[in-house]
Amino acid sequence: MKSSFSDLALVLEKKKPTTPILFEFILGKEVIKSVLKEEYKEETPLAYAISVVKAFQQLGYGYAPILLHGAEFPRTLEQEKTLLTKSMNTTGLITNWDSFHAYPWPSASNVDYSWLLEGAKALHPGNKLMVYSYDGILENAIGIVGYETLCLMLYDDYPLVEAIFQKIGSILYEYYEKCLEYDTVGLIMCNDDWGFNTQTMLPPSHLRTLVFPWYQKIVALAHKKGCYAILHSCGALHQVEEDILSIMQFDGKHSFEDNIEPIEEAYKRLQGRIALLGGIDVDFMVQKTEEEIYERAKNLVHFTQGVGYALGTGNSVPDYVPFAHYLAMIHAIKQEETCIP
Amino acid sequence: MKQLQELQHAIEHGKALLAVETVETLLALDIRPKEILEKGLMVGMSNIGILFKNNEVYVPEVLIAARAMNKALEVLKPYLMKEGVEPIGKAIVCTVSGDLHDIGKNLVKMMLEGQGIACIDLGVDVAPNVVVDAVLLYKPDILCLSALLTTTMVGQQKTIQALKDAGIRDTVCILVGGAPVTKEYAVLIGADGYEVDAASAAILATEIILKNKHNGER
Repeated sequence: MKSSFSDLALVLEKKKPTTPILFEFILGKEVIKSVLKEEYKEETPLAYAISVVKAFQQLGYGYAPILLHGAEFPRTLEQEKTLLTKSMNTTGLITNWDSFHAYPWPSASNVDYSWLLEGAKALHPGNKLMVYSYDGILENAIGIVGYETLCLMLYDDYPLVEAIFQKIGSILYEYYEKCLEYDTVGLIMCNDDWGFNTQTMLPPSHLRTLVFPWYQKIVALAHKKGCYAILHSCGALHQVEEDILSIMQFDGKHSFEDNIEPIEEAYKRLQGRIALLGGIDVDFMVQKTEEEIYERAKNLVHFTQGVGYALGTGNSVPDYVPFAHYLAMIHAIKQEETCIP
Repeated sequence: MKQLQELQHAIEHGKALLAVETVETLLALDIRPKEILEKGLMVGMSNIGILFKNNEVYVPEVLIAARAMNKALEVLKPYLMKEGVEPIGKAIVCTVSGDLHDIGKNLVKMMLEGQGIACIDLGVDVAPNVVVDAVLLYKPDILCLSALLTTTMVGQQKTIQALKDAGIRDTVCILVGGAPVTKEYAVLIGADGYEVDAASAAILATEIILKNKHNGER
C-alpha cells in the first residue's frame, strides 16, 4: 500500500485520494505485537508509543496516532486498571465544591511534548502524527463525577457542573494547543463519546453549553495551524449532527455502529459534508467470517470510491478481534487500490 | 382530578418536593393510595418513559423523574402496605458476568418500577449461578440481562444456559438488552424479548406480566 498523509488530507477535504486509504484509531497491543514481532517494545510508555507509530506505518497508514502522558484526570478506581470493562457510575471524586477544590487537577504543562519529535522519527517520510487525549471533555467529566451523579448535578448544582467542564475544557484546550505547535502533528483527534444506542448522554442543550464550545475552539485552532480535526464519538448523535458539521466544523467523523446507522447509510447521507472514517462495526469484525469482512470492506471502498472516505473499523481493533479478521479488512484496500479508476 | 394531574406533572418534571407535598395533599383528601400510585406516580413515570423513547427527554430528566417518584413513594408506601396493594409483578435486573456497565441496567430498573413492577437489582458482573439462585429465591416474572460489549454479551447466553441446566428456564421470562445486542441475537440465544431502550423494555415487561396473569401462566 502506498497510502500517505497527503491522501488522508484529500479524504479529509472530502476529495478523492490517489489511492483508497485506511483509517484506524486504536490497535490493540496484540495487534501491534503481531505486526512488529521482534521490533515491538513496551519497556517505557514512550517505547510503546513509538511501537504504535511503527505498526501504523508498516500497515500502510499515512499517519500514526499518539497519546501523550502527563495530563490525565485522576480517577480512584483500581479496578479500572485491571478489568476489561468499567462502570461510568462509580467514581464520584467530585460531588461538591469542597471536593472540586481538593481534586488534583492535571496540568497540560506537565506533558512531555518531546514525544512528538521522538514519535515522528518512526514515521515514513511525509507522514504525520495524529494527537489524541486521555478521553474527551464529557468523558472526563463523567469519569471524575460519575454519570448519574453528573446528571443529577445538572439540576442540583449547575454552577458546579459549569466549573467542572470549564476546568476540563481549558486543560484539554491547552494540551491540544501545545501539541499543535509541532510540525510533526498533522491532525488531532477529539475522542469523546457523546451518545449511546438511542440518544446523547446529556441533552443536546447541555452539550451545546458545556462541551461543544470547547471543541469549536479546538477545531478552529487546528485549522488555524493548517491541521485537520477528527471527531471520534460513539453513539446516536443525530440530534447534534448539525453542531458537528456546521458549528464545530470537524473535518472527519469516526465511530459508527451498525445498530445505530451502518456506515453505508451514513455515507449516503453525509458524503460531501464531512469525511467518514472507518465504520465496519466492531461486532461485525468479531462475529463474521474473513470472507464476509473482506466482501463488506471491498464493497464499501468500491461504493465510496474513496471520496471522503477511509476504510477501517467502526471503533478500534481491540485484541478480541481476531487478527485474521483485521487483515481480511485491510486486504480489501490492497485489492481495490488498483481497481479504482 | 386536579391534584393527580399535578402529581403527574411533578414526577415528569422531577420536582421531588412538589411530588411529596402533592401525595400528602391527596392522602389528606382521602384519595385511595392505590389511585395515587396508579393515576399519579405511575402515569407520570409512564409519560416520561414515552418521552424518553421518543428522544424528547434525556437520561438526566429520567433520573430526576425517578428520584421524585421514589421520594413520593416513600411517603405513600406505608399507606399502600396498609391497603394491601401489591406490585403488578416482580423482576430481577442485572448486568451479566464480566461486565461492569450499569447505566442501562439502572434505567431499565427505574422504568420497570415506574410501571409498578418490583425490582431486585443483582448489580453488575453477575455470574450465571448467582442469577440461578436469585430466580429460585425470588421467583420473578421477568429477568432482565444487560451487556454492553461484544465480549460480554455471551454472558447473557451463558446465563440462559445455566437456567436451562437448573431446569428453571421456563419459570421466568427473559429480556436482554445492551449496545451490541439485537433482536436476532436475542432469538439466537433463546431469550424471550429484546428492546432497544429502557422505556420500551418496561412496556414489554408490563405487557408480558399482564398477559401471563390473564392466561394464568408463570
